[in-house]
Amino acid sequence: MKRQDLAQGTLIVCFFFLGWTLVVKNIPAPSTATNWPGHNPFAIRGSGYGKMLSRFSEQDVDRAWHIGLEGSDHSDSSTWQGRYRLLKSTRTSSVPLSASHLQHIRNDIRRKLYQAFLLDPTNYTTYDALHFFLTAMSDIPEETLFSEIAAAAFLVWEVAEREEEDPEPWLTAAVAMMNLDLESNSTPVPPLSKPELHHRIKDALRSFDRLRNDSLADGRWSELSDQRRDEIETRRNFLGKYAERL
Amino acid sequence: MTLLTRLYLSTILANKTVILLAAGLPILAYCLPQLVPATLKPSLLEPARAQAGWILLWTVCSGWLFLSAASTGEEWRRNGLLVYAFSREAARFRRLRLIAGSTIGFSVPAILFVFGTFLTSVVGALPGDQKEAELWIILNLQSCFLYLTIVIPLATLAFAVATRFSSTVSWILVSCHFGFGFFFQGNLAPYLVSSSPPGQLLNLLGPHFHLADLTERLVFKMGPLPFSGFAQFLGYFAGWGLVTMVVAILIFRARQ
Repeated sequence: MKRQDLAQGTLIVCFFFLGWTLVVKNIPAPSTATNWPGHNPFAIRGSGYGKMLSRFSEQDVDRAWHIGLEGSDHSDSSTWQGRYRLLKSTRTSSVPLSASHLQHIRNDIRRKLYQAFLLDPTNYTTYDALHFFLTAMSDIPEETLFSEIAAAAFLVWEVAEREEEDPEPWLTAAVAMMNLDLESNSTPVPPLSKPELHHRIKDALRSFDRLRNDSLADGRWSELSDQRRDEIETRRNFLGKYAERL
Repeated sequence: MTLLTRLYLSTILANKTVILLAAGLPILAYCLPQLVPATLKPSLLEPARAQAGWILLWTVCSGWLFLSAASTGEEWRRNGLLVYAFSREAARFRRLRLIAGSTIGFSVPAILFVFGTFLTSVVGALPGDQKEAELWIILNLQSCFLYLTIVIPLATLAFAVATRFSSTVSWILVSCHFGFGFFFQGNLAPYLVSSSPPGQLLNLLGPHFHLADLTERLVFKMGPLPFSGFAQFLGYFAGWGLVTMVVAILIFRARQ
């Protein structure tokens, strides 16, 4: 490879990057889960690899959030690796971030959360993180906030409704409906009435129990790691307690 | 078979990368689905195999094919082989015949890869239901044809650009062109349509290679494209291929 080739190649790559940043970065991120672009290269979103990537991004999203908005990482400090990570990401500058910088970080986290959520809408962690971010951390105006939350929750329900094999999506569907139930107190026109939402929560938990029993019967359940099983059981118990009070 | 076709094929056979890729593709397509969290949902595995096969074909194999075509173009121009081949041809349509000869060469590995992917997808993920299995095979065949119509002219373009500039420049240009059409055009289209006249022109004239990505239809078992729609897609990509070939013939330079 000659020096001239390298120079030409670098120029072309820079040109494409410039074009990319000028055109694509200036396109506003879609506001709700339903008007995200339909273009899905290689059908990653919604496929098995989408599930995989969605799990990988759980930590990424978590880190961006803690470092960006809270100023520190929540690493486990009992090991030296955790301590070092904490050290690396702890803010030492006493000058606070400017308002526009914070706004930029918020938008970035929001985009990341939506991307992770759409890879697999039935992932409990990424859905919950998105919902919590929208309600607690973002600065979306009150008027549009509820429609955005509802769009995400209904997408979860829509995907989970087709599930006849894996019990987990039904838990996400139940928690989505629970979130709507909690939030609908503060909106004048809820998209579904309270009894309908309660019915859906109980319905989702019944479907979860049925599919979990199926997977127990054919041995799939026992192949999960203890940690994953505990996690799922804890979520089921939490939602069960919520459903009992309805 | 022309001189250039034979020479290209014997070169890639001697390099053996093509064999490694053709054999590695099905193996990887069987290994990658192990990453998918399918413990509670084993039905995720089979579509993931087909998906992995097609992703590898579009990315790794196309990347290698463009690189191989580009480095061949540069090498043949440097060692004077193109001048020699040029002088052997009769006077009329010499450039066209040289380009056609090398294009046939590039299409052989492309067909080999496509065939490997087709087999992986059909053997590894054939639906149990008879009717659905037929649709699956038709859809995979459609995907194969769309792939070949897009990739072969682009390989020729990589070859031709490399005879005038260099293999690095040629590979980067062709890959960016392909990636733009395949990944970005699809995302940009909704915004470009509603934007300024230059944006609309870019949407009209930019390559919409993303239309050939039928992975979504495969993974979610949506069935093949209707025949008329498939013919339109094929016509659109053949048109692009023709334009690409004309550009390649114009750019091609035999002299050192």
